[in-house]
Amino acid sequence: MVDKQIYDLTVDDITECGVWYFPMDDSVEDELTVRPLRDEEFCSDAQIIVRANFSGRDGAKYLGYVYWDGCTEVEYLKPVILLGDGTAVSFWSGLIKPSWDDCSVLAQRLREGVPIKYVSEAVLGLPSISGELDGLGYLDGESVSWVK
Amino acid sequence: MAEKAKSCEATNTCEQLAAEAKERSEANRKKLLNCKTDCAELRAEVDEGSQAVDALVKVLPEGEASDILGRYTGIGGDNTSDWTLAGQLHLDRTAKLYWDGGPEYINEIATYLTQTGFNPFAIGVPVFAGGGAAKPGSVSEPVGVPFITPEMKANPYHPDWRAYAGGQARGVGADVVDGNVKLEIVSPTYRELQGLNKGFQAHHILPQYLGKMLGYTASDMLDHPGTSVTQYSHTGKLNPDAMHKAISKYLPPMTGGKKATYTPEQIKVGLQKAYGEIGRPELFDSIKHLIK
Repeated sequence: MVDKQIYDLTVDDITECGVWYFPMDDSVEDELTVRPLRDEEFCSDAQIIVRANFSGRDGAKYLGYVYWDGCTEVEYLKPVILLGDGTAVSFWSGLIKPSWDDCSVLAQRLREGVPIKYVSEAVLGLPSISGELDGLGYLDGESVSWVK
Repeated sequence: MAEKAKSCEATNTCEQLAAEAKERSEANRKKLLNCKTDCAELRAEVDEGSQAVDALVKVLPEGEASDILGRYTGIGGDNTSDWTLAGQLHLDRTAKLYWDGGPEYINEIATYLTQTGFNPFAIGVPVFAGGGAAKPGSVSEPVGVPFITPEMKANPYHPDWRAYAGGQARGVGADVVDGNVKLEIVSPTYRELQGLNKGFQAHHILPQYLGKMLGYTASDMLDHPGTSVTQYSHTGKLNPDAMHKAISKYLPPMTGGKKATYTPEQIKVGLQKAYGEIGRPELFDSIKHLIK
């Protein structure tokens, strides 16, 4: 497997490799390039994403990832669900107020399952992280808001 | 060490010499990374050490010992990198002093310029009159480089722009401010930092993924301001103040499941908040002119 841009990751990529890291050096296209993590030594202080399982209130199951972080607020974990049709739902949009209408048809079905629970895999000695998503998160002024 | 260097080939102990030199160098690097108010003193020590090594290498016969020691002070050598790194750290501390309103920042700048060889006046002479009395934002009396030299004209990033005190608009190396008001702390460019300090990463202060949205090419961005940081400060997953963590909180790579696209105004707001949040507002100041 080779480097990819984080926004191009697919469900097959995360199935095949459960941990990716951001090299952030001159070998990559830019700060959003991720690389499969095969060797623990490369991840000492690099930002990594780890495979996570998501489940909706309606019982639907999904695969995706979270940014592994010592802070467990949504703005640091930035959870993403990767769907079988190649589309994705990102649950953190920063300064931008997100809209379900901008998501693919398949992604919009997730809305019925909100709140969505997630559990990341425990890897590299780092503990699993779990939480619940009340919708699409963003920063509304200084506080986190959700588009349900 | 001089005695060991002179006799290492004869006594077959050059490996020990190399190990000792490495150990000393690593200890110095460690000390340097923890510098607080003593970055300039440590930089002077590195300089002094390098001169001593150079002097020793000159009197050594060509051979293993001179090769081992000579590597430390050549281009890319550990001493050379440490000296550059010490300057970076000193500037970082000085920028913090400036922002915090510590008047001693002026003397720190004078020390930096003198050590770096940019001070247009004699060694040890403060570059600003009344050093130690001025406050950030106040009108001080700069007596730095009084006119634009041909070198400065040819190179907007020429170091003398940093001390330019004439009345004309400054080069981008001085952040294009009107003369006679205040000194801006300017970052080196990403290109200047590339591969310079082992164990450090060069950080694009205007991240490349955002720079592309503003129409900059990868080549353009090599000449944008950069800063040298540890990986822990850059991306550290256990560091709540890691730069990219703060940036992606406001300007994440994806929104609504797709690659994000931001307007210049959103980039400006996001970066200002991110750098402000980690206590490095001066980094935003060094690139805000690029966001348009």
